[in-house]
Amino acid sequence: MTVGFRVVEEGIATSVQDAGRPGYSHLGLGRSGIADQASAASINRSVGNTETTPVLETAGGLVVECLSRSTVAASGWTAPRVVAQGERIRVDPAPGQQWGYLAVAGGLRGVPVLGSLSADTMAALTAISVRSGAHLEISETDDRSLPDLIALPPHRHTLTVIPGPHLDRFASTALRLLTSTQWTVENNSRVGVRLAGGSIELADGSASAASEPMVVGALQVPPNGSPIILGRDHPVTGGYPVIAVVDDESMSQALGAVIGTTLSFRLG
Amino acid sequence: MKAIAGLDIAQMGSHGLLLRTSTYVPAVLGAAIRDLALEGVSDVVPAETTLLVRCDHAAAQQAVQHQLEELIESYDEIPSRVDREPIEIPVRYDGEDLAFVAEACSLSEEEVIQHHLGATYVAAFCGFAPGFAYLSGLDSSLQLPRRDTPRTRVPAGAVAIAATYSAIYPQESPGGWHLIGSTSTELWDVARQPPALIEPGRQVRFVRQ
Repeated sequence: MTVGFRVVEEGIATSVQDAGRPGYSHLGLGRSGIADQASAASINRSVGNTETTPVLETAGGLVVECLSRSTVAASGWTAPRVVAQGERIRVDPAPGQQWGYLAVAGGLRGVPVLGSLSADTMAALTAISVRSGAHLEISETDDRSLPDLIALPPHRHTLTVIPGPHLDRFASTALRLLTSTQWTVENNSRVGVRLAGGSIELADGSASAASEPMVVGALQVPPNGSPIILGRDHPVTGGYPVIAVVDDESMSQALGAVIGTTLSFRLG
Repeated sequence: MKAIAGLDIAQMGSHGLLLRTSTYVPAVLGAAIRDLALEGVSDVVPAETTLLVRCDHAAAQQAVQHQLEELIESYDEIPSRVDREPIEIPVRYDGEDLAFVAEACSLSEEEVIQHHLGATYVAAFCGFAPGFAYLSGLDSSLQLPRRDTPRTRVPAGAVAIAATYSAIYPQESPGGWHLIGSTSTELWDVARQPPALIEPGRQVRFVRQ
């Protein structure tokens, strides 16, 4: 164990994230985990980590002070750097992205809660505090070969979705409207990405219904017709119908899209 | 989608299979599927009338669907409950809304308590917060809509009712249910395995403290 960082500025919506916590959704605790997995994976790989090694995730404004010499990489950088004790690093999302990441060779370290270090905003669960002043530990790492360049994940604004499962709760025109509309990201949190730009019509009398199990990437449509893409910290059950679910290949683009981004959907 | 008597299986994204059923209790079927520990399945999540089986990888989805179809076709009888003793929850009937519930249901407070104690509940599903189980089986004389204005703070251990359910708030949180009592039983503990005291499908009884 090595003391790695001191949090100088907590920033916005900052948390420690890893692969998340499968296996507890039936008990009311969702999976959580890294929101934009493609971005975090490339930054983790660049310092020799596995794709879901614990990282810091932030919507911006995070500042940490390095307490020991280490190899780190952050969003917006082209390559990792070796930082000296006392050096400060500011982490913001790369342009066009909602989430910025800071990875350190070896990864952040702590006592997992139910198998994961991920914070879950929906469950008010925090394994590692990232408040200003907090000290973050990192795992020991062997000397590695020279780190890699950071590969940029592809920027795609057309997302593939799999229709259903609640198509019977929508008007017959709904799917066509979903795929022909240019949607704008109005808000983005770990719980969900709210879209604006059109109004998807529900079938008569189907606005309120029994709670259904939910999955990350589900396009839930509340009675106002504006879809919400469920994020990693989504509630495990929800009452609004799901018109389609974002395909795995498009999930990082969907959850990582910054406010103001234009998104469109095509059927997979 | 494939039709099995009283059940169909629909794709929910690249990892999920949604089982819709009018024949099976989703929590009970879910517990049976979880017990099988099928390869490639990471979560089995019941809700009111449906059950989600979530796969580790998109590649596992089809194989898991076939296994579920074979499993369900092999049932001689429909499983109706999880075969374990009911959990007993000691309750003090000291809730802030007890008098309101009595009046709204045209009952005395003691009658509300007796009706609440009289039922054996089944945990239909969890949601809202970790360890928050929707307990079905609430006596029809106690079924009320939620409060018009939710409370911003409901204490941990509050025993509550709303619609067709009873529930216990595992942690302090906002909440819109009617509070009729309290318990000091710990509903959620991350140091315990499983962390939730009440799992979907489990039977629950309340006992007066």
